[in-house]
Amino acid sequence: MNIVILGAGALGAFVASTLSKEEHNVILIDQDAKTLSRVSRELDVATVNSTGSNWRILDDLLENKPDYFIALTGCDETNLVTCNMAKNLGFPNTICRIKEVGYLLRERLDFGRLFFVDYFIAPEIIAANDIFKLLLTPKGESIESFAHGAIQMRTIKLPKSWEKTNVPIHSLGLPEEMIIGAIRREKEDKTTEIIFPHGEDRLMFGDEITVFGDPNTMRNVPEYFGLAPLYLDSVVIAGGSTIALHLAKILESQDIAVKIIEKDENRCKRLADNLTKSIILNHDASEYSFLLSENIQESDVFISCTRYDETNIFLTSLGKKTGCKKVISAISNINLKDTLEKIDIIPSISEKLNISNRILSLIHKEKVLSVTSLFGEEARVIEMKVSEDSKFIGIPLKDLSGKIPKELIIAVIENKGKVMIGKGDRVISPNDTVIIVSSPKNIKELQNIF
Amino acid sequence: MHYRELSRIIGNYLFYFSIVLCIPLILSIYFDFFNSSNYPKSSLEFLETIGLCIVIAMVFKFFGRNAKGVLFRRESILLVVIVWFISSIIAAFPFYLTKTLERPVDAYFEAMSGLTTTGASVMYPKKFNNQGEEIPILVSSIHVPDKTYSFYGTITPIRGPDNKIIKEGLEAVSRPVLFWRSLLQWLGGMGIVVIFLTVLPALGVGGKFLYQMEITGPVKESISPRIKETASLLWKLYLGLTIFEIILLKIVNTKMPIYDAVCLALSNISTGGFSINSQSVGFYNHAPTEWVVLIFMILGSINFGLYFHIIRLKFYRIYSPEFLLFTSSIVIGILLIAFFLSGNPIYFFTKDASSAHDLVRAAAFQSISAQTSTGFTTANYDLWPFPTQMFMLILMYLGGMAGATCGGIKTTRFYILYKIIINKLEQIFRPDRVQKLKISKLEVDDSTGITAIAFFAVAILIGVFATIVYTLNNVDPETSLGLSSCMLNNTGIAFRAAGPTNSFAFLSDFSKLVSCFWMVMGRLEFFAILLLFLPVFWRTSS
Repeated sequence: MNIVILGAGALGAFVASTLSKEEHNVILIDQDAKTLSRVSRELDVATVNSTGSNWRILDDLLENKPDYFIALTGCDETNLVTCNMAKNLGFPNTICRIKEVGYLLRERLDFGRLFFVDYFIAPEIIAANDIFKLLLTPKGESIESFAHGAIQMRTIKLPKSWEKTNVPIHSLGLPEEMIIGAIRREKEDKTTEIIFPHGEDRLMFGDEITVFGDPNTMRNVPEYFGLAPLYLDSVVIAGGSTIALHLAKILESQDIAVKIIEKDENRCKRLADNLTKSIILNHDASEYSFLLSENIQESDVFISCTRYDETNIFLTSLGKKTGCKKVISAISNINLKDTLEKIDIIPSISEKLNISNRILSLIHKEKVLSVTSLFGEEARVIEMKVSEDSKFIGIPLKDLSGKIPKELIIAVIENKGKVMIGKGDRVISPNDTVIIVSSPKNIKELQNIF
Repeated sequence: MHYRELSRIIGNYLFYFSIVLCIPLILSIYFDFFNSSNYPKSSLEFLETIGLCIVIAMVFKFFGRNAKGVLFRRESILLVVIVWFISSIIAAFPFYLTKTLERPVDAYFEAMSGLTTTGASVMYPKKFNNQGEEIPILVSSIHVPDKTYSFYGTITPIRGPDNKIIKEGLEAVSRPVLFWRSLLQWLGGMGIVVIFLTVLPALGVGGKFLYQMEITGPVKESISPRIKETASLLWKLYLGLTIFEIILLKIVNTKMPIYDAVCLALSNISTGGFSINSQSVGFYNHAPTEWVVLIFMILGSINFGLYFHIIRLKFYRIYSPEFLLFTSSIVIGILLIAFFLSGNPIYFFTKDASSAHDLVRAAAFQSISAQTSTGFTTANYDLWPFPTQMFMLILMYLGGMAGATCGGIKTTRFYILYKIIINKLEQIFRPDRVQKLKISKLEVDDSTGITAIAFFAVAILIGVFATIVYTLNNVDPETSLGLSSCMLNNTGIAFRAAGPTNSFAFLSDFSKLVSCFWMVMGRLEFFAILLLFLPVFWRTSS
């Protein structure tokens, strides 16, 4: 496949190397000739020295019959404008990297239509959500995020104090934007069964349930089911990268205290502008005595998410030494994963890997975007694209029963950036992304259905 | 140094090389069994070479069996050099085994001359006295009368039933062997590694570097984003041009046998210059044939990237200053040589003529043959006036465009040098001017500029050094100068004792071996070979 990538920075070069290793023809555009010559020495890709807004260059590149235009510069505006030009010049598909979450929310403007962007990817937001997931998981709950964090999935175990065992789910009075995707019930003979609940099912104490909803609604989930709220008070983030910013935003919304340590003063000011509740510290995080003076050991988690693996590992080792119980390091080199786990540092996949995985799945035209296992291997959560010739387009979900396998629930529908819970009167449109909870045996069939 | 990696790739490469050897094998089977000619048999010898090649390939594969498949820069450089030397050794075997060339040094020289597209040959008929005993050949140039070279011929003549010599010289060489010679030039023209890049398993970035090592010129543009595809596109184009020339030759000269046309085309588009006749292209004495050969010498010296612009119908991209420089240098070369030649006899091999058409024909053919490093001849230019010879010598160093099959320093480099010199001169009186070096729209950074200057210096320095080495080895200075520029620029024609009517058989073994070295050095553009002499290249620690 012929792919044109704008931006040969850390992300662009990483994606280009992943794609060229998969034997795709990659043309890399950047305005810095030095960066390009270094990249072209290391990778089997062609390079063009130009600014992204030079439409003549884009026009010339069309003669290679490109399939994708991917804008990966660090500047959202450049990416959007170049995608716009590329699409209008004749590139069939455009992928745009953004940092600002605002472009994903389409409350007033549909930025995809406005700038002719087919797919938005915000790698930093995905990475921040990944880290957030890691913050919570080992405490008995598992959390997953979908659609750039717009949808959260939690698995919880109902406590003994659960009393509404006789009330069917539809009368429980759950919040509007929340849905129960699966129930794992332990029967008296110690065997377990997975229930894909439909309105009439009931919840028993001891059940493990998987709940989907937007993050704000999900905050109240433990409370609603009579569980103790999440035990997470304070988090320290070393490095004020874009991931840190997004992570801090998520944490602030969950009322968790955040400290960010960043060397660069201007960056600190920007962070302080965007984060009202967090404490921004302008200091070098690699100074051990400073970490001690800030009582790092007292905080629940120490996270390092600078742009460099080396720095992250170094900082998290320091954090470990102060006595912090849980340290998380963002990494872009997957080979480091095992090593880090051995020394008790939790690795989290960085934005580089996130975006390249995402782009690969887009390019492979995979209907299935991601698969997560639930309850071991007993159920799967599948994020997939609806093709244009799916049979279920335009039919309300409540009329679908009987036409789709029984052990399957359409939990969430994402339509051009708008996220909806799969309630009975919702309809599926072509190119929507749906999140499905299903028994593993249905997976093959799913490919045909959607 | 990761020797296992090298070993594995060389093993793979040699397997493919043995497949290439099957082409002359098929031809030799035809000539041995299905053609009633009296040429020496050669099919068994080609079969032996293939066997040998496979055995060596297996040995390399064995040593490289644990290789992990990574190729770094250092290994890539060494790989290309090893491939060139090892291919020339294996390519020499058919010459040696068929007893075409009885001495290993001669066979190796011939193979190296083929692969590097030099086209210098040691094939020369043996001379006998009336009693049938072999006698030494005495050669002296009329320009250097006090130096006489005495040597023995290399090619055994074909004798009839009555022991009378029927064919001698190139005409007595087994046809498949001559075809092999031309095929070697064709393979080496674009680059033997580049052809195998298309079939060798993915080498990643290493492959890209290999490509850059073999494609000539200071600025290497790739035609397609991925190197494997670039290589395969180049070879398709190369093959296409070759077939086109064969057809064209058959059209303009219906009397030319298909075998001649194929061999001529193989040596022509690769700007190699081996011929299957003692009198080179002059043998046909056919003006249209010469013009076709002449056009394809030029086509072989044009940056192959330009053809892709033509195929994609982007004609406006052809008008780069580099292309203009190349075409104008060709025109000026022809005019200069024609001017100094006018009024003098032309010394065609086959006839005497002195019309204006013949004058332009001979001048154009010889000047282009020298500049494009092909080395075909139609006339004995060694008897031409001295200025014409001097301009031919300069044209040999000038060369064609970058990214083509020809040798020489290349017009692109001269263009960069010219730009640098102009910039420097202007800076003397206007030191504040900020200027960027550009070839058409492509920016040439400082390091490329310095590399071009370094290349120029190295080419001249080694040219001088090579001339000295020949002279110290008992070759007269005028011949030495011709020889060094013939070998280093892969031209294949020289002057005086090595002039158009003579061969290179008079050289001593030492001179022949050292010539092989100059040839491969010129083909790989000096640096790759030179850096092997740097101790730091071999040091693994520190």
